[in-house]
Amino acid sequence: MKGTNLGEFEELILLTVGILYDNAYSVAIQKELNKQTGRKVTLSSVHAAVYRLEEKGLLNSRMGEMTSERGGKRKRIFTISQSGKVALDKANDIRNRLRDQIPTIAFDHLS
Amino acid sequence: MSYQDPPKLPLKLFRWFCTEERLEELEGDLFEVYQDLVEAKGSAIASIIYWWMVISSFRSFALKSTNRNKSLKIMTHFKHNFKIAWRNLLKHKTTSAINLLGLSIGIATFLGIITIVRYELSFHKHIPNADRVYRIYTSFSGAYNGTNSGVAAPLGPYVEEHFQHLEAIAYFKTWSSKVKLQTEQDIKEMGKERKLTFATPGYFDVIQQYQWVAGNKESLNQPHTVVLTDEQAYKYFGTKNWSNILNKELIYSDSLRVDVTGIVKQNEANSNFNFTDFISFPTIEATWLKDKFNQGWGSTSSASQVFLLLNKKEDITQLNNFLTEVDKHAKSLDEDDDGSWITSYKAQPLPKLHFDTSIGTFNSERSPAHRKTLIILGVVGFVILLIAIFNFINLETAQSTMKSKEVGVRKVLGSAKSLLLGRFLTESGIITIASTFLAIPIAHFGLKYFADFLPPKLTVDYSNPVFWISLIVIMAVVSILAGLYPSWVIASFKPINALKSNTSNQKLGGVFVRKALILLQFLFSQLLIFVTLIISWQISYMLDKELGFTNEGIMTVSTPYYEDVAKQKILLNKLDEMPEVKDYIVQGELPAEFGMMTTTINFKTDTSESAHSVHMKNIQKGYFEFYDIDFVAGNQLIPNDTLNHYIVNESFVKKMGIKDPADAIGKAFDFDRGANHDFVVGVIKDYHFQSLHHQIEPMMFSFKDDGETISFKASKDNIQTVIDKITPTWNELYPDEPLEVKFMDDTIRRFYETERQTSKLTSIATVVAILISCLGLFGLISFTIVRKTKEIGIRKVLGANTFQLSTILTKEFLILIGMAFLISLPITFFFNQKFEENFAYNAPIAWWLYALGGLVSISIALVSIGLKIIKASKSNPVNSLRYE
Repeated sequence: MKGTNLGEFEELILLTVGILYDNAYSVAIQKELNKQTGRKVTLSSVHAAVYRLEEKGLLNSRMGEMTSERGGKRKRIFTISQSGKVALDKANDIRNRLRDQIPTIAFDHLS
Repeated sequence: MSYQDPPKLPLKLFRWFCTEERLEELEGDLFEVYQDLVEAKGSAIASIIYWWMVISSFRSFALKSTNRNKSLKIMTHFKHNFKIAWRNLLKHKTTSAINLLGLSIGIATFLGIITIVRYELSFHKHIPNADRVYRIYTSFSGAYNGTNSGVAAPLGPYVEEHFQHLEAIAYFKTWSSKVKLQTEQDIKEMGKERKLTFATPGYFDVIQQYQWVAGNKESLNQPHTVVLTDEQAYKYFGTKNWSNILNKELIYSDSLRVDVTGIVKQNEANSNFNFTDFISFPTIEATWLKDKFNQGWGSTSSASQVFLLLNKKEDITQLNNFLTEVDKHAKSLDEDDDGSWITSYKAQPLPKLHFDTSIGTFNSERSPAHRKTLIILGVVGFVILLIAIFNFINLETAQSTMKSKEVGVRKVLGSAKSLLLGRFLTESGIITIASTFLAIPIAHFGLKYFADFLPPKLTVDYSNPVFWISLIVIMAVVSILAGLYPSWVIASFKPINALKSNTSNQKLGGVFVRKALILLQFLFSQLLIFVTLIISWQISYMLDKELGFTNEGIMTVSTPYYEDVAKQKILLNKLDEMPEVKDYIVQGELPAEFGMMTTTINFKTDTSESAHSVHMKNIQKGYFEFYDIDFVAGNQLIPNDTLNHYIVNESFVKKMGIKDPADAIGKAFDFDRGANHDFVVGVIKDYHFQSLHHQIEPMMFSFKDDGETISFKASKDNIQTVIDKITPTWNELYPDEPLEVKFMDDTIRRFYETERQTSKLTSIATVVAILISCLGLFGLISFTIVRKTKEIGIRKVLGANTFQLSTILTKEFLILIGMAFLISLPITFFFNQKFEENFAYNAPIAWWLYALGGLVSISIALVSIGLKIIKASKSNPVNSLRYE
């Protein structure tokens, strides 16, 4: 395992799962990502990411109800686990801490 | 809102490669996306994108688990199955034991039988070029019909000189004689050796089964040399230092001195060529043996053997043509030829040597294998294995009701049918493997136990990989045959039925098959019982049948034909002196024996002339009194062999067309003294001079003063005394020949050797088949009783007695056995007819023999299940009703 370090895409997925709380299944995640980031994400890369995150223990999952719009198939609904939350917070912290340490002067030449 | 199904093909593909665990959610995702796409872009584009999604899902998260995972899973399943199967076997100890025992006996019988069959078929397979090796034998037709495994002495050298297509030729003489060993101090007696031969170096080129360990074959071109097999050399000299043995001197038959010039090692493989001493062929020409062996074209001897190795396989046509030429050549050179029969030489391919009973192998070898018996044996072995397998299937399917709950629970918990199959196949596999290993010692000791009527040297060949491979094949086939059906039946139980509480009273499938199998089992056993009964019935009939002459209490001794008559006189004087010998007689031919002299006579009446083939025996005065053969007309022969007087049997008279035997007296016929110069002087009652396979044929007796066979009568208690008393005289007179006293009734019994062997085999097979069937029956009845415990209890409470209960329990089986009996009747009848065709005289099968056969099988069945049933019927109903 690479530890709990999150990749950029993984972090996005994790965040989206959080946003979609209790309705986070692959297709919804894909749509939400498209909407929020404007990135074209394919379904299979979402699948690969959520399963990987589940294996890392950052996501929990359960099977949802049967619905007819899915041809009678149930969906797998993901929720953020405790360690998922910790990982998100940690990533957020690091980013914020690092961002805060950038001296204002560093941006001066841009203006 | 209606939904549109996604295209089928990519969906199928997806379902194929996608792992079960994630198939549902992923398929659902794809479906959902597809619906959105159809709405947004139309179904055509949606389909294309759907395709693309399926293909892009070909990633690790969706794929079925890899092989490594799979094999791990199989191992887990296997371990689990094994453990459960083991527990189950221990839980049902009786059934497991019955299964194990039945199957192992069946497999052991099969193993034993294929060992025998394989042994017989293995002969001469090891000789290279066996397909190009032929033996030349002699066939006679005309006055004397028959074959001789040997040829006339000059044939070998003649073929070598005149036939072009030879790669090698071996002509040799088989011989037996006493052997002595010349040491520095004295002469050591080695006893009589029967597998001697005079051979040319060519022998080793044709029969390529030897390795030279010392010396070389060229030494056999010199007279007075001998080559020994290593075993024989060790027997003579007691050392394995072969070079020390070379040039040592051996003495054969008192005066034939030869030097050892070579040692060969014979292949281990089975062969009829088991000669031990190869004396050089030129030795014959250089010694007194010349007169004994080198006779002309007119004398055929089974001691003279010719084998040849052709250049090409196709040369057999040339050989056959050549042999026809040889026939003509031989005829022109044969001074004794009176034209009464035709001698022709024929070629016998080496692979047939071991199987042709009409020709035989060598003088010193056992008679060839009987192909028909081998086939019967193979069939019987197969049938027994089949019975054992049926047994297994029966017991397993019967047991299945016990397993219904287990299957139900497993199925509800999601076990696939294939997994259940594996679970039950493991159980049958364990039993099969165990029984196969148990079968090896059973077969081993079985073969030892029956060694009496098996060929010598026959043992299970453990060093042969073929044996182990065939064992594994048997194991695999049996476990699949025996395990697959019951496993399938059990695995197809419907969980709802299987879990219902009252399943033990339900019939859960396989009932019909089970009944059919019991029926077949008992049919086979019943047939074997009948076959055994019929064969032994016939044999006892043949042995007990009045043959028309006395054969009990008569012993015979044959003096060597080449020895002087004076020596025989000394022996006869000895017999005269013995009070124990009641009577004796000398004759050319015994009233009944294997060999037969046949000749042709012409019989002329006023109107017609006809030729007949008749048998002939040379006898002395007192012959018919000695054997208690009655006259129906005419007188004894006058002891004078220049007279042309003959005594004939009734069949002879009938053949001549005369009704009243008295009219035949004085009638003339033409035998060998020209037209009508031979006369009938007496007619005897017909008696059986051949086995009962044959009709009584015309026979004539002529007077001859001397003969080789002495018959004498002595009471049973004195037989040994007589033998002891004549042995010293015999050894003095005929030092080369051991004294062999034969009993007449023994000789006659040996007419039916094949039948007796078959009878022994079928009785063993019957016992085994019955044993296995009864084991099965015992197992089945145990189950029926367990299943019907409650029923029995209730019936008892309501007042049923033991007899009524036993009837209820046995009825099902008795019906099956009865049916097997009925079906077996016509088959037995057919078999009996075929069997009777072999005999000219048959004992009609009494009706009660059929009844006896049926009774035997029913009573055996009843005995095997009776105890169980009585026990069940007597059980206290309180116990059985408290069962739940």
